[in-house]
Amino acid sequence: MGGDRHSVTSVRQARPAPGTILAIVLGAGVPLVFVGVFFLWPVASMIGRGILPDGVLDLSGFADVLARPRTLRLIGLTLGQAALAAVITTLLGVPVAHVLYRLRFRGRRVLRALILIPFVLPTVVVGVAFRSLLREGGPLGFLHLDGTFAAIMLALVFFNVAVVARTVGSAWEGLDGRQEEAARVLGATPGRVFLTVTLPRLAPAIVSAASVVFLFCSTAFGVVLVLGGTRFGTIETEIYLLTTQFLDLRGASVLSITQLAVVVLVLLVAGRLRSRSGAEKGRSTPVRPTRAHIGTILVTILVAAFLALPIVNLLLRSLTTKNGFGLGNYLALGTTGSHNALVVPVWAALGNSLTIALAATALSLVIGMSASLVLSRRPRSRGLRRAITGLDGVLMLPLGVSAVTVGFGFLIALNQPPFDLRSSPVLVPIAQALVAVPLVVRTVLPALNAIDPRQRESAAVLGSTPWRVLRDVDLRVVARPVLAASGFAFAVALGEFGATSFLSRPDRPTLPVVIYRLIGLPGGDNFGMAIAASVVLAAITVLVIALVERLRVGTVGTL
Amino acid sequence: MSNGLTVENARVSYLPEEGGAPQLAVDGVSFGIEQGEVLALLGASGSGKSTMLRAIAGLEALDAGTISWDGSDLARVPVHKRGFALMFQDGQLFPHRSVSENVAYSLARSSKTVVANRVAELLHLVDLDGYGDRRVTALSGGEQQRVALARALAAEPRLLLLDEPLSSLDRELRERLAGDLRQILASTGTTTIFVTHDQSEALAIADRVGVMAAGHLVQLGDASDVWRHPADAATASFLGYSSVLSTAAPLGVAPFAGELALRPEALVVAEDGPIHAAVLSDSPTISGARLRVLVEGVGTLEAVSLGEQRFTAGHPVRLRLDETATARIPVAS
Repeated sequence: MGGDRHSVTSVRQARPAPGTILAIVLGAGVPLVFVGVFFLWPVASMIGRGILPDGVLDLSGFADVLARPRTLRLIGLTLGQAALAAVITTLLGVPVAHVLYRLRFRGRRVLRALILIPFVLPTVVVGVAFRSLLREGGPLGFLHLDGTFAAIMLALVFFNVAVVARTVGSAWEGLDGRQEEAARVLGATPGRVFLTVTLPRLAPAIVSAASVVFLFCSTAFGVVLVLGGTRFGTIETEIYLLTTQFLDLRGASVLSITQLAVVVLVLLVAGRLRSRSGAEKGRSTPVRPTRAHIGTILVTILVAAFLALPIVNLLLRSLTTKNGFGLGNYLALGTTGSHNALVVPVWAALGNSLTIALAATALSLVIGMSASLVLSRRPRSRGLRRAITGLDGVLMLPLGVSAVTVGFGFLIALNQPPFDLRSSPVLVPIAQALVAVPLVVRTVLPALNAIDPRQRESAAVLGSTPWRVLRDVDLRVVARPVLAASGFAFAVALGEFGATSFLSRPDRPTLPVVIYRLIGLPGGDNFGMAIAASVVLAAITVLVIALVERLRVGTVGTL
Repeated sequence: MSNGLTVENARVSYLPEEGGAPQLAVDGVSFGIEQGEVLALLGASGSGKSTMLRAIAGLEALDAGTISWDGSDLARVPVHKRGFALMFQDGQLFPHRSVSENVAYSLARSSKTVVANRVAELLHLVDLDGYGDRRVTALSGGEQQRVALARALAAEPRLLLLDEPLSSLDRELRERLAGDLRQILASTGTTTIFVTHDQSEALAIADRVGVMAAGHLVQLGDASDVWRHPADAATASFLGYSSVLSTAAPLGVAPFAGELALRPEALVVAEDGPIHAAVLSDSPTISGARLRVLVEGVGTLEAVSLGEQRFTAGHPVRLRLDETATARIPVAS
């Protein structure tokens, strides 16, 4: 018992016991090494290729690449497209947030969950859904929107409305409704109440949601690649094309660096705007809908129809074959497609996807959990605390950097010693785990932070060793969040397309890669197969996310 | 056709947060208030008094009954067109606006100089001269409530509604502000309904008092009348009467149809008092002692003694009844 007694006092002393330091080093070391090798090193080599082509600082590559009219047009297009999508999404999402979070009606919980579906759909699926809706012969083919800027815009808005509705909605739910009442009783019209009382308090959430949407849209890859054709694209799709079609690695590097700069800038601006005013922690009672709410209700109905249309159409279209209604498209998933479009049957690709996603989930859980345990500690030493804040920042980096950049970085960094993994099948799950780790941390860490440190202290005072404290206090609390995080990680890994499209080997493609391939060779049964495969992928994703939603842990809306 | 506000048979229910059947908060309440009058709605928490106030403001819809102003029904008049003002318990000042911007909130349509003059005038009225440029978050609780009062008065409401305006403050401040409030309401001639759970506050500020319990208005009348003649035993005990006796004969009171309510100071120790009792316990107060005594034929009552004499348990005492500290409650019909 002597050892236990010693650890009791060590909890209460300023200096941590040697065991604590060891645990922190191990807990922080594993994630740091992982992020270092598989993120910082690839990104650094990519930057190096752009500005240090022969080991000497040379910025002429920037001048070359950025002077190309096509590059300039695409950068402008990326930014303009993202800005426009963010504005439209916000304008539509705020009324939806009002209806779903401030009005009281039957079924609003179900609606809140349903509205999340477009957001969790894999990007390739969204692309296919809009192609199938808008192409010649599709239900909206008469609009001739296939391959236009408008089609991309529709898909981006479709994808992101939930981000605005949920972020703004949960903030709105937390606003103390009596502020509005005070204004109304003082004679303010409903419009003035909104502008002078509600909007100023909602602004941080709106700005935050809009900047997240801007970020998602400016790094959009799968959707744009499927819908953009040759005329439209983003920096992302251009990096992909330069790498895979034109083998212009230097040009791709320059674009990746440009992209990185844009992302960091947006994150900084958004962070500043957000921290300017703290969130309110009140609660409001939702009200029964009245005639005064007709405007927002109408917008919500229109948005709901807009969100449902591509999904319903995708489902119906998947059951339509040349010979009428039937399961033909699903049966064809056992083949390699018309004109031998694929190397393996679609079902085999699904098997690959599931295996890889499972591996990625396990990997991201190990990394994310050990990181969360370290991040949740508040050591007394100021140096250690700073180190922990730094670790938090490093781990969030992959969230801000596009998947294409990660995939591209892998290609150029990990094909030479000391990390020659080019032909190794582990690259894909590692890349997917990298994208999922920030999600795991963001889901598990809040639960750990909510533990009263006195619980750990009292367990220790009662004679528990530090490991037992960890097991009895920390791990017990995070069981549900960890389960939820596994679901998120799995869904994200399953639908991941940006990095995977670079890294997956031809003989071992994942489902999104196969869908993209099928839609690129639309002859014969291929388009129908792409749609059926999309439905399968979407169904699995939605199922996993629905299970996660039932756990009612902090949600994707808090991204 | 009556002037001012008329509430007739008002009923308000609300849906509980976590689902379930609607709960009745206000049930069959009727009263009126004349121009310039100050009415207090007094009741324990959960008695429905705040819900009644919110319904008058238009923040809650009536399930049944009417609320009208000068004879015209307000049911279809939205909150912002009623010309009333409501001051919340915790002020609900707008944190992103300065003191003067808060006060000026309802003056949006006036010219700048008019607004500036009016704000200065109101800040003077609530004794906050020169506070205009301060942030409301930097004010003390009492100052915030004064700003909230000035903001509510700015619109010159035809009816001012105050929801527990002083109860978030500490006691000393509360007593001082109650006096100020009465004076401000009188000097501006503002018709006012205010809700409180504090009887002394109601007595200090209001002309008339309505007592609410379990969603009903159980009594309404001039403040002093309500104190002298509580409607029933529950009201009496809420108003500070410590015991209600069904028979008062042992205390030497001539029989009457009803019950006798006693305040603690109704029984006073007196050497030649007619009532014989035994002391159960005593606790010193500033002016003497408060006793629990056993009166033969009645039971345990409270009594006071003036002076420095202390009593031990079992000590016999003689008491005299001060009828001004009693109230007669008519039999419930």
